[in-house]
Formats: sequence, C-alpha cells, structure tokens
Amino acid sequence: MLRIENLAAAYGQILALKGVSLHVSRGEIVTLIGANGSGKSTLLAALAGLIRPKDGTVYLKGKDVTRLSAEQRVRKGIALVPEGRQLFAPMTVEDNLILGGYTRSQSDAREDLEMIYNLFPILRERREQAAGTLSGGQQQMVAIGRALMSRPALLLLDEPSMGLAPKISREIFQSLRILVNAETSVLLVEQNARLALAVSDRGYVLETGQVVLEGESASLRNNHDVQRAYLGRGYQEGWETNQETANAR
Amino acid sequence: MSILDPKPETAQRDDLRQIQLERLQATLNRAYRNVLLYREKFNKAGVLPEQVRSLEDLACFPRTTREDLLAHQPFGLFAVPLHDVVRLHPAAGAGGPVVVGYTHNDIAVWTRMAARALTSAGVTKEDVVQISLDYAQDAAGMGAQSAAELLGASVIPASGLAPKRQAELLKNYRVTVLIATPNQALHLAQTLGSEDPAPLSLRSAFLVAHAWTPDLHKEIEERLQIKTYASYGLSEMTEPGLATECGEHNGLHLSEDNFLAEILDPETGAPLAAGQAGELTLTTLTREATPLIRYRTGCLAILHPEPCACGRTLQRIELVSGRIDNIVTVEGVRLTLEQVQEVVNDLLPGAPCNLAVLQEDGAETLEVRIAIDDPSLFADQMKHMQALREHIKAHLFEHLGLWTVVRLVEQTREEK
Repeated sequence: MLRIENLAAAYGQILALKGVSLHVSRGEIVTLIGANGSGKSTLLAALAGLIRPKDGTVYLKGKDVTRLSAEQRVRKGIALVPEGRQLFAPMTVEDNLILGGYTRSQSDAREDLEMIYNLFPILRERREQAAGTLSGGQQQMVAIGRALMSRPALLLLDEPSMGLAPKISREIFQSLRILVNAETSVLLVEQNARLALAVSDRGYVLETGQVVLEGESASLRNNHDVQRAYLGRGYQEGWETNQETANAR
Repeated sequence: MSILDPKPETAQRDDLRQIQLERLQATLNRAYRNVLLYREKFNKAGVLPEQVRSLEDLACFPRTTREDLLAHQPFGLFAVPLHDVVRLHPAAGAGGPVVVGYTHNDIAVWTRMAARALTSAGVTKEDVVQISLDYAQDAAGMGAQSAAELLGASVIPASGLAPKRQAELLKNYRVTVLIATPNQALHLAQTLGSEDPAPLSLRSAFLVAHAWTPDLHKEIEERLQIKTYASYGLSEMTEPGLATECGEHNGLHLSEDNFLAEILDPETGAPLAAGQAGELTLTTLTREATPLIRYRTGCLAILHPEPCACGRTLQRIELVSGRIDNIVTVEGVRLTLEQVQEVVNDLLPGAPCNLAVLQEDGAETLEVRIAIDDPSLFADQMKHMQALREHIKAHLFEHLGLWTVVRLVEQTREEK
C-alpha cells in the first residue's frame, strides 16, 4: 500500500527526518511513536505533500508519488486528519463532511455520508449543527469523517486523541478498527503510545528523525525502552492496560 | 509440508527487501547509539547509519569478528540495559565464551523462528520430540524445546543422558522426531546397533550443526531408516531457526526477515555474485539485546536466490565444506589454530602444531600434533614422553575446556 524509502525532510537548516524507511500494508493500522521533535508529524506532513522532502521516495500502491502536490495526493488516495482537527467551525457538520468529498461525484458522496453516519451515529443527530459547537470528541469524528469522504487508500491521523477525555479517545480508536479494511489502511501518529499500540498492528519508534525500532505492536509494548520512554514510569501490565486493549479491540 | 508463517516465508522479494531495509536501518541506528563497539568501528571507518539507503550500502560498513566480541565481554555488546536481558547464553568457542543476551522479545522471535524451522522439517503437534542437545553447551536445545512446545508437540528433554538411556527413551515413548547434533544422532544409531529400526516410531531427525556434514546425515538416514533435516546455526547467532532444510532438501532456507546474509570474498571482504562460494557474513535484523553487524561466520557458503518448490521465497544457503580461517569445530566448540598454539607454547615455546578432528564412533576428538625439535626427547624413555603428553593434555583442557589427543612428532618428519 504505502512504501517509504529513506525519506529526509528539513525545516530550514534542521534535519527533522534523516532517512526513514517504513511501509503500511493493505488493511493495516501502523503507528509511529516518538517524543516531541522526533519527526513524527514531519513525516505525516511530507506524506500528505504539505512539505517537500529533501530526499527519499514515497510509493503509494506501487506508484511513485514523491513529487505530487498535496491536492494530487488526495486524488491518489492519501487523506490527512490534521492535528487539532481544523474544521470550518461556522459550517454545519454535514457541509464539513461534504467538503471532504470534493474529489468525488455527488451521488458517491451521498453514499459515503451514510457510511460515516453509520460509523459515528452521533454525527447524524448533529448534522445541521455548526461544527464549532460540537464537543472535542465529536469534532474529531467530523475530521475523520471528512477525510474518509475522499475514500482514501491511506488515512493519516495526527494526534487524534489530543485534548480528548480517555473514554472518548478509546471510542475514536475503536472506530479506527472498524473503518480499516482491504481498501483503507491507517498510519497513526499518537502521543498516547499505550492506546496507539493497543489498536495498531505494527509500529515504528522514531528518535531524532530516525527509526530505532520496528515491530508488531504487541512486541513494542513488551520492549522496556518503549515502556520507559513512551508508556510512562507507572506503566502497569495489569488491569488498566488489559482493559484498554480489550476496549480498543 | 506446511509453512508456519506464510507472510514472511513466501513474501514477494520486493516486500521482503523493504522489511529488511527498515529493520537494517533500525538495527544500525540502535547499535550505533547503544553499543560502544559499533560506534567506535563505524567512526573509525567514517560511516554513519543514515548512509545505508539500500541493502547493498551495508558493504561499506566494517565487518565484525569473534575477536571483536571477545574484547567486549561480558556485557559490552548489549544494546539494552542488563536488567532487560532475561537470558544469557555463553557461546563456547575460540578464545573463550562470547555471551549472547536475549530480551523477552528476542526469545519470542527466536521461538517463532525455530518453530518455523521445525515446521519446515515436518514437525507437527502430533509428534513426540526427543531433544538430545546439550542445553548448556548450545543454546539450540532450549530454542528447540520452546519451538516444539509452541507447535504443540510432546517434548522429551533428554539433554546429557547417556546414549543407552537415550535409546530407551526413543523406544519406550515412541519418539517420532529426534533433535540432536549429527554426532549425537549417530551415536544413538550405533547404540541401537544391529537392532532392526523398523519397529521404532522414529520418522525424522532434525540435525543441528555449525558445519556441513552430509556424510553423517547419509549414514544416520541409512542406519535409522529416517529422513534428516539440516539446521545450520552459530551460537553467536540464533539457532535453530537461522537456516533450515525443507522437504525439498536443496539447501537451507535462511530466515531472511530476521537475518541479512552476505557472501563475501574472505580475503578482501568484497561482495561476491550470486552462485559464488564465499564467507557467509550475517547481520541480525530483529535482535534487541545483542545485535550483530556483518558478523564473519568463518563458513563457506553459496547463496541461491531462485524460488524453491516448497513455496518458500527465502533464499537458500548451500554450505560448502571447509572453512576459510584456521577454525576447527569439535563437539560444537570452535577453536582457532592460533589459540591452541598459544596454549601449547606455554609449555613448549616455539613448537609448531597443527590440528585435526578425529571422528570415531560418532564422537569427535581434537587431535593436536606438536612438532618437537629435540631428537633426544624421542630417544628418551617412553615414560618421559608419556608424561609430557599428559602434561600438555591437562594444560590444554585447563585452557580450552576440551580433552584432546596429543601427538608428538619429530620436527623433521613433520616438515617433510
């Protein structure tokens, strides 16, 4: 589905990504974990075409998309759910969603709208409400729904749990498992590594712009370095984590 | 025969190369950050992990030798803190043991890899598996046990038992698969002697070795009327699971999602083309505790990239007899000529020696031939020479941990 080779990107003189290679297979949820400044969001921005990589190649479904603009990438099947949702606050929920389907025909967009309302039933109830008046969790649902309207092959999510209550985050993550299928794969950047590793199939650990660890999410959860750095000192393999894993699945 | 993990074992070569590149880059990054040996070696060679943009770029990196590992014992090779290491396997060999550490994840990966290997040799949950491997001498014993249990087979740990007891177990518990070194298996066959092997339930032997011993395999197959499957491994690497024969018996499939193999010119270190024999050099791709980068195995091998009739796309290693360095392997212990020479010269300064491995009754013994430049010694009483031989033998045992056969020859004769 997605294959990245040696991607390098810089902000001015600062090299934020130093030759990262990774892949996302069909129907997979892959997570990137790393501290602030490790290059996670830069990687997503480079994939979405928001910044131009200095080096490296990005293949989507076997085709080189490295030189395409952000808009062309949407048409090729890459959709980004940006950090902080970035909705059009005065517009209604439904209008926000329809905007996401600008690359598709009206009838297709109608069909997808139904699919999104089925995935997030609360949005159907609030369809006429201004997006800015929704709770944080509901806004996140709109942001994901808007990205899904382009029928993406690859959904990029930047910090979907940011600013949300734990219970709401879990609901959002559960919906990811539902929406992933043979047509849609997910690449997820998330501060809440515990939740991200519970919901994803595989993960990569980024440190100062380089991948230092790759593996199945279950084995990353068992890695002591990951536990120390990203799961917190109080990481317990007991009730709470199991609960989260069970809920997220 | 079935394939345990079709995804990696039958992967498209492109997909596999991508996974190898990702894991190689992550391994180099971790090794450079966490292991002094690699940081120093890379710095000295003027290379950085981010210079590896393809698998071929690894060729610019320095190779690692057993001597490098010896210089960083006991824990200097670990890329994780000692308290993350849950098992230590000291790998015996030239210059003393080299300790390999395993994290929880390392053991899980290893067990899966070994289970794949056993599956490729036809082991299933219906089997009764007898493991004769020495658990302390060789990490392979525990690896094989965990793997067989993962597959649901019934395991009999028979480590350290005398051949007669092993033979009893084999008969009494209707053992279907034997996991042993080729020598152990042959010993067992000899113990069974002229007994008709037909009533035995034994179907196959999974033979774990550091070298290629096709003659031994053939003899075991004939004596016990079973099939044998070769498993190549090194204690410094992971075994079983590194490379294993499948039912097609045309080379050993390398676990390429966990190891990157290179075939190099032993002299220059230059990569050789596919089909050429050279030194097998291995890089671990998934090890957390003890990553090894471009480790020189000292074994000659040919890499076969063509697909195999079994369905696996993993490249096959064809081991070629002989080694490129002066290393001999005796009962799983690797020794160099230089190392034996040093011990001999403690007692007989300047006396040259050479080594041979004697195969007798399925047991291996190291013969150390020492050339003596003192004709008077040979003219002296036998008793005196005998005492000298015993003295050298004891000294060798003390330093190498191995009983040897010592032969003293006149230097002139040796030179001829």
